[in-house]
Amino acid sequence: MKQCVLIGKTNVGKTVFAINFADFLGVSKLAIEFTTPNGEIYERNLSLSDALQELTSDTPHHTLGLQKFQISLPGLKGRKRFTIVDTSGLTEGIHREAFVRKAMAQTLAQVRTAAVILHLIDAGSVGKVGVLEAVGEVDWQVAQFGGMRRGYAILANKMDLMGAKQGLLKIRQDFPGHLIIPISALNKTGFTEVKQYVWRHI
Amino acid sequence: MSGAIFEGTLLNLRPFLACVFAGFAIKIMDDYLDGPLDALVGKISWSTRLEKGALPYALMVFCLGVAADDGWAVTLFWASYALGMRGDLQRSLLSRLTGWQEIVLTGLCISAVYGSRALGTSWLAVFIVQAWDDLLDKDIDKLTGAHNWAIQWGSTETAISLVIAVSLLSLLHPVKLLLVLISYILITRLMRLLISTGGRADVDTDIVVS
Repeated sequence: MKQCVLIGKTNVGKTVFAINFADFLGVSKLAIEFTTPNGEIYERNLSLSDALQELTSDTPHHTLGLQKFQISLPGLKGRKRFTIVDTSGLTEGIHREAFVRKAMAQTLAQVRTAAVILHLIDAGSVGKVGVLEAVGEVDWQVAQFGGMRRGYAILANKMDLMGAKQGLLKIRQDFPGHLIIPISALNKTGFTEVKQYVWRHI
Repeated sequence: MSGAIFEGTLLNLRPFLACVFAGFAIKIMDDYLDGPLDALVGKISWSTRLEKGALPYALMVFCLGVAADDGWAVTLFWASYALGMRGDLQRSLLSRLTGWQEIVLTGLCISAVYGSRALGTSWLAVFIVQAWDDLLDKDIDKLTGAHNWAIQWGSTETAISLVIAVSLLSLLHPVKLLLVLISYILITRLMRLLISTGGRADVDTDIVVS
């Protein structure tokens, strides 16, 4: 089954996006397959509200490992099934904890086989502190890799925050030649465009 | 001599109107389906303006095309439907048929009424328009992931296919080639004019690439 991988730095809203996008597509319960950085696999069924409560947090690296769930995407004349892969957040440099390093390596391994890569960037903090400060080397590298293949788009998240519009303009300037979709994972805006983009690539 | 030209012009007026109306219906439907992403990358589109009104408007305009010349309007619309399915040829659709099967089945029904020559020449005419569009929109379609022959086959290959299709249609039905091309130019010009004079108030210009 084709995979749509969510990638980005910590606390850019990957998990909130994954859960709310599933909600937007009409999913009411998530059967999530968790893969720890050590390779252990287990499955849990969670309602969307439980998933939001348990799996999201302001603390960095709340998602450690992979969280996968299948979605039946409704579209033109039928449906297509695909897997959303929520990944651990990436950080600059070499993280001091081996477990986090393993989780990040696991994230990067998923990118190679993905049909769609959605790269989340926090437009709110770009607007506040600037591209250089908010977007790290790791984001440039992901964008560089993504630009060489099909199915790569940048999601400028947190468009509901003050200064996010300025942030979006800066992201557009600094990542030319990429499709940049402004979204608010929290308020579920911009999801129609994301849905159409995913549909075209799976 | 001038009488013959006048007569010929009148004879071609109904097919021409059928081309224009069917073309509008196809364009409205296409814009509606590709709407959200196209609007985001600044592609000229009616999708943001018409929204859910696209379907009734497309049907109404298509009815006008059928009233002008049913054979031309129906075969052109079928050809556009068939070529629009290029990304779904193998996929099982809501009808439980694959894209290929839907195209063949509907094509057989329509050719039973209007003939295979009308169907084939309309397919060639729409192929020409689509190939030309794909060559023009290659970069935008690459960004948004839309199906595009110039990306899939390459620009040179698409251009060669375009030349072959133009040559074939100019041999088989030169009038159809001419009328479809005039309609295409008319529709795209008119669209640009309508959109540029009407503005895009319904789109947040801050978040649209211009």
